[in-house]
Amino acid sequence: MTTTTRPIAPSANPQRRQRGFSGRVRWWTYLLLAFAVFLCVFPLYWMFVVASNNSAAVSQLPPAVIPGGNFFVLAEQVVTLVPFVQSLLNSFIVATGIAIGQMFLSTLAGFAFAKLEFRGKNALFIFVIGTMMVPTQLSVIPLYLVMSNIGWIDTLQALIVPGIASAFGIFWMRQHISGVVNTELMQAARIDGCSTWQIYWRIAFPLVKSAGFVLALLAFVTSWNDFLWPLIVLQSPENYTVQLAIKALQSQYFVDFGLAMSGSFLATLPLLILFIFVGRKMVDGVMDGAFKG
Amino acid sequence: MAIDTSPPRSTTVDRATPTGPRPAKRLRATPWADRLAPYAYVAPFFVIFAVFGLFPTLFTFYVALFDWNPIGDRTFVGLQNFEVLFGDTRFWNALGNTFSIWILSTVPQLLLALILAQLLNNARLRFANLFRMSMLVPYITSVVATTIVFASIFGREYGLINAALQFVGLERIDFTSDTFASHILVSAMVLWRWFGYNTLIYLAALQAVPRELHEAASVDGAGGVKRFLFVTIPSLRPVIIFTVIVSTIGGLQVFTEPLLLSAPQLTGGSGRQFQTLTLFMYEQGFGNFQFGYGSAIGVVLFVLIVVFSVINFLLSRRISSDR
Amino acid sequence: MIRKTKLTAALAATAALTLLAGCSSGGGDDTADTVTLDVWLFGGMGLDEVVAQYEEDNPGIDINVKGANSDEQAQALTTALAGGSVPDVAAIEGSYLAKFKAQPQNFVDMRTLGADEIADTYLDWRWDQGVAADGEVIGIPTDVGGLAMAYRTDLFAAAGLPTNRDEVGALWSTWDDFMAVGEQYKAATGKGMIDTVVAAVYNASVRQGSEQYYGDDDELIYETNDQVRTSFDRAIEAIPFSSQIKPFSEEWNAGMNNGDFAVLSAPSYMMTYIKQQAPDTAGKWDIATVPGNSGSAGGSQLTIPAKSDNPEEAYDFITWLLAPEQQLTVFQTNGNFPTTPELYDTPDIQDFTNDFFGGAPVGQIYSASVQSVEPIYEGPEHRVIETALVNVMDEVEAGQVDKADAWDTALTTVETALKG
Repeated sequence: MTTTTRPIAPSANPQRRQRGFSGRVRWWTYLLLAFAVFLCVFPLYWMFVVASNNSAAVSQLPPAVIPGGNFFVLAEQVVTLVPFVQSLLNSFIVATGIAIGQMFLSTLAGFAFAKLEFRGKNALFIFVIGTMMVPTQLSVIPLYLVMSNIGWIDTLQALIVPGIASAFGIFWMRQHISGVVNTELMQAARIDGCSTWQIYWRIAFPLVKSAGFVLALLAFVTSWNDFLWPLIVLQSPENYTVQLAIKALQSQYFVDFGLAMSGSFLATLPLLILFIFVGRKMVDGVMDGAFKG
Repeated sequence: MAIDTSPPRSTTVDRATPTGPRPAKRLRATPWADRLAPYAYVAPFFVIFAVFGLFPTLFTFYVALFDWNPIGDRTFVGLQNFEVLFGDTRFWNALGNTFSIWILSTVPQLLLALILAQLLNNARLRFANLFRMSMLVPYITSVVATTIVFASIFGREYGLINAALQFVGLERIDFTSDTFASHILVSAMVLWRWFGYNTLIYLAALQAVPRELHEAASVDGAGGVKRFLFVTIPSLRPVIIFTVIVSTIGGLQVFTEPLLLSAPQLTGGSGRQFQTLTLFMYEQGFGNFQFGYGSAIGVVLFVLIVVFSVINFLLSRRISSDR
Repeated sequence: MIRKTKLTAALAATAALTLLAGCSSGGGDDTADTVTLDVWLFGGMGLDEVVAQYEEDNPGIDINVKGANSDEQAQALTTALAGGSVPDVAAIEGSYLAKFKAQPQNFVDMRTLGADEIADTYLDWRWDQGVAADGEVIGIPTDVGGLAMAYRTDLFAAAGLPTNRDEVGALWSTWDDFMAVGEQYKAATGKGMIDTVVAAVYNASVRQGSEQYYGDDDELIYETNDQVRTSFDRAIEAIPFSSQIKPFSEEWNAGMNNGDFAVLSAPSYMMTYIKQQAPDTAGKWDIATVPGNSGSAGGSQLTIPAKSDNPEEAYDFITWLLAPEQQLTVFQTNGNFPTTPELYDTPDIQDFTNDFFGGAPVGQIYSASVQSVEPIYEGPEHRVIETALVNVMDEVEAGQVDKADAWDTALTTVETALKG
């Protein structure tokens, strides 16, 4: 998936309650939805089943389908075979760096494009939109050469810095800022002696904090799960992100599903926990058009 | 006009630190600072994009003109890489696989999403938040983890699917060696990851449809199926086209799933039966030390994606002007 | 195909021995700085002990090991060399050597560090595998994958086959005999006898000649070399009694326990692998000679990338690791067969048996196997050709390519692969 424009403007629509369908809910609706929930959740459940059984239990017919008591045994192997804890930390650093950086950069540029007047604004904005069409993921070979020239191979900033510039983020924040930041308020603030920076930081940013948070969340999830670029640019196990650590588990010497699943589960767990707290916000964000992948 | 004592506003990075409570009376910003501020605010994006986005993209075109061994020599060969590429059966095979996987994942995915969106679009539905949140669970699961789980569930000897097939008396399927079955496996992973996400997109759009339209259909005695055909699909048309194109662009770049399924080889199965274009690019570039050839594949992919993006742009513009 | 040298696992045991005197004399002991060596090996088990041992005996050295499988290692090494951020020691698996050797400027020529002095310690042809076109020594040989066949005596008995290792060896003294045994096993049990035709037949058979894909002067001969064609046909012929379970997969490990196949092509390091993966099958395995009686499943070299900051320390580490004493320990505990011939006739090897494999005299079996190997020249695209051929055999085995078209498909596939 890639970042791109959504033709529908963010709908902070107060009338939403009066819209949408309202009718009797049939029993089979619940049945179908329950099945969909099962589809969504089962692979994670299965991950845990394999990660908590010994490999003999899952390589027999019929295989075990309930969790076993082996979880901590495998988890311990995972953390000793690869620097797993370190990789969790690295992923956290990278994902947080990108999330905060992207939120900050996007609100700042979005603010400029939405509320400030400057020469070349329209041309620059069209350029930003245009970059969304450029699939930069495909330039991994030259990007690798660039990183090697500036000596960033095998460093975390090689992941973070390219990740914080998001054309989509700018576009999205611009929409939000135009919608909620009132021009009169800005003028009043200016008369009050506020600098442009202060207007951004004191007025605009707090008003779009929620949208910025959603952007940061999605950026966090995306970079936590990123694989191709870290695979190319990181080399030392101590610099691995958690996705590479799982991959390393899978390719140590032979395939051991128990270990790989245990690693996968441990790598997904932080996001699951995060999701329990901010899942509703993410749902709202996606429904609000935070189209990001 | 007062003097601004803060550092010049030429960069935004040093502005990142919150300023904390300031005295009530603030100094006025100088006009030149205000004039430059917007540029400073948008500059970081342009600088980063130029270095890590634009330049590598342009450089891809350059590298593609060379026989470029990353650990050896490079020789200028002009368009030879492209000539070889268009005569390379592996390229056409990868292109075919890519499109096959794209269709197999996109069509059922969007259909499923549409149906689920209609089911979810009911103000009287209970547990609505639970249902919606579950839809995003696949999205937060990494592709690496997804692939490892699916490889186990679809395993030939001890996989759940095959155990079930055997239980009902059907033949086992080797999901990684048969071409079509392997496409199904890769597509299933893509589908799983994105169907819930698209459901929410559709749901949002459905909720924007005036209630009267739904109700009119209901009063006419239309059941769920008719409402689906005559209300849901027509009113979501622009969004559907949009999601089709987004998943096309995503589908052209499917990489991690086939890579991990075929690891440690990069061929996407012994007969390249599920090697996608991106994996082919990676194989040539980082497996066979052919940066030039790999870049040529990147260029072709680039062109394909830009073409689809332009179609996206034109279509969505035309549709919005239709309304 | 997938051939992995289980070096790291093997090394774990060397911790027992400490033959380090004078290894790094004056190598930085007098400074407070610790030299950290980044070492990329294969596998991933139990290396901590031996590293700790070397580190303990060399206080100025800190060793940082990364383990991966040989294919991913080769990819990672390529990007590392291209990017300039390199490890100090990198293992390169045999079939990838030619490709890296073609660009010797990326590696330290170990002649500058005294490699000429130790050349005679190693099997000539294994040493030569690490020597580039102009004589640059870029790699020191690790182990040599002497080849034998591991088989399940219980399953053989159930199939009405002999179980004694000499009888089994005699039963399949040629590949034709092997086919007959396979068919007999299949008929008696209904199960496949071997895991895959590539692992059990092709890989063993194709190396039993003096040439493979390249003749002298880098001339491509894969199309005309009888050894290749015959081995290819043998593999195809063996399909009916193959279980089609890929080596090093999860299913393979399970199959070893569950008896999904009865015969494994066993490079010496495989003994430990089987023991670890299928501990419950202890005593049910034995080792016999391979049809055609000789065989090598390759081996690896340890190299020092040219951009390493610590080439001398790396060289000291490598030469210690691969000295006969350490290789012997590794063999005794983990089965990797030494590349140092001076050990072969010693009682340490000749009298060495393995209880897990019914007390088989594996020392004799593997040293005989290794000593009858003829050196084979591997040109730069060796790996590409082999992968293409092997993939076609896999395809035929999986029923995706018709047997009648197999060889033609193979030739086209190789041709395409060589183009890219």
